[in-house]
Amino acid sequence: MWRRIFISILTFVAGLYFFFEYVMPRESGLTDIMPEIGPRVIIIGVTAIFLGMINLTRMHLHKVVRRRPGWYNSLACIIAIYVMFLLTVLQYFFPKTAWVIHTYDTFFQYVRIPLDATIFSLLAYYIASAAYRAFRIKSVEATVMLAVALFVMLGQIPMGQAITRWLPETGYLSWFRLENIKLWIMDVPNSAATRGILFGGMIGTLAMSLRLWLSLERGSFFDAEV
Amino acid sequence: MHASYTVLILIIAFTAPIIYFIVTARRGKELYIRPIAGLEAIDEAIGRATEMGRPVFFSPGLAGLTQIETLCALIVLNHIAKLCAKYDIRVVTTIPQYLVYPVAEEMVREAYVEQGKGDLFSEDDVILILGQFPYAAGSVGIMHREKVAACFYFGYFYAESLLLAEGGSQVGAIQVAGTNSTTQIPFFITACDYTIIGEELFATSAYLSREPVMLGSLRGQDVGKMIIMFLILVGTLMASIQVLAQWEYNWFRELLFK
Repeated sequence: MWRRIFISILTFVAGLYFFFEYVMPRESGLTDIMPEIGPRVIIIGVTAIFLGMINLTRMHLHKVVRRRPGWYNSLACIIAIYVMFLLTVLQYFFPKTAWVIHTYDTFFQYVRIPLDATIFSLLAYYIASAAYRAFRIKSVEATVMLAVALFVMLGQIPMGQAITRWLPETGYLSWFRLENIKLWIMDVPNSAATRGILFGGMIGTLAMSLRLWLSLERGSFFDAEV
Repeated sequence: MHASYTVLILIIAFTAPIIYFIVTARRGKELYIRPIAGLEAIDEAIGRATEMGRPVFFSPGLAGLTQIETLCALIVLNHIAKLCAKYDIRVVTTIPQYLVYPVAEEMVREAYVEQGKGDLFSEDDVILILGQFPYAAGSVGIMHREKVAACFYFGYFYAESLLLAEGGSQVGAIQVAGTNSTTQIPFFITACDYTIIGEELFATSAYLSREPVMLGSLRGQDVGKMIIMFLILVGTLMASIQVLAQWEYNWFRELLFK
């Protein structure tokens, strides 16, 4: 009970501060307190990151000790976590030591970044497989989507633009050039849909913020059933 | 950044109907709320996972704890964890943000404890994986190893959205996504079974709780959208009149930008 009251009061007071900080002019002095709040978030963050490290270590160590299937992956994960952690700490204390900088760079620039890029590049294949499923002509909507995607893709590439290059660059007929059709699709229906979602999102954010601010939102935060 | 007078007036204009409908709902008036198919599908997906005896997967997106999408996602996680606890199945959650991690762990733990299934909760089921692409790779690996029967993606996503959704699709999981990230919505629509778009994400907790006061705020949201539609119509009309009548000054535009 007391926990709920305490959280509600704290949430309301904090919300009130941020609301007035936003709507009041800078001269009110409320903005000057803002930099004081930043370090507190960092302190909580540092604690949380250690909790995460402990969780990962425990989970993977468990797999290694019990020799669960794929235990060697867990071992690699533990080594990677602690080697990078150690190298980052060493780099902070010995920023001019050559082997420390070199080892850190080797692991970060030549291992971590290429691995990131590898995963990112998978997107190209996934886009193709997802597009195949979405564009299969099963309904009127899928057909419209396929046609629109075709116009946008052709209008984007020079080879596609070459198809309608014989049309004049000015006048009414120029509207039918593929690059102009693509522009229209992107600027008019696409922008309208995106803005519609953004407007809706803005209203939703406002309603959700209000529910949180007034502690009307339920769940674990407030000891009540969802 | 500070609000202009117009912004302040708009905040009041959009907040007033929400407060009005919350008060109305508190007085006991029944309000009609439109059905949201994606949210109805949560029960269906968990039911399927229960029948198959497999765990479900949850991702709260890449955003931090200070973003409202993440708070919304955590409330949905709590709801899903309660349902999973009720039906004796596991919910595996991967977290890409260290600040979100302890909160998510606590929410899942409390959900299991509340349902009297505290022993079913394992700390190993809430996993911190930092970094955007390590997160995507790690999560997809977990989906494959655990053979999850249902995947839920709620929150704010970036380029990892399709990696996750295609990973879930490959394991044959029923997938429900909810985001207001306009760049990622098309990916979720193509790869997931149900997608909750834009403001529906923020309606989730209210919709799932079915509590009159929360539903009142949902009704207020709809009225806010009507106000926006009215403003768009007036704005379009004023801009057209300005062009046709060759006005140099558009007072409506000036008013909005003041």
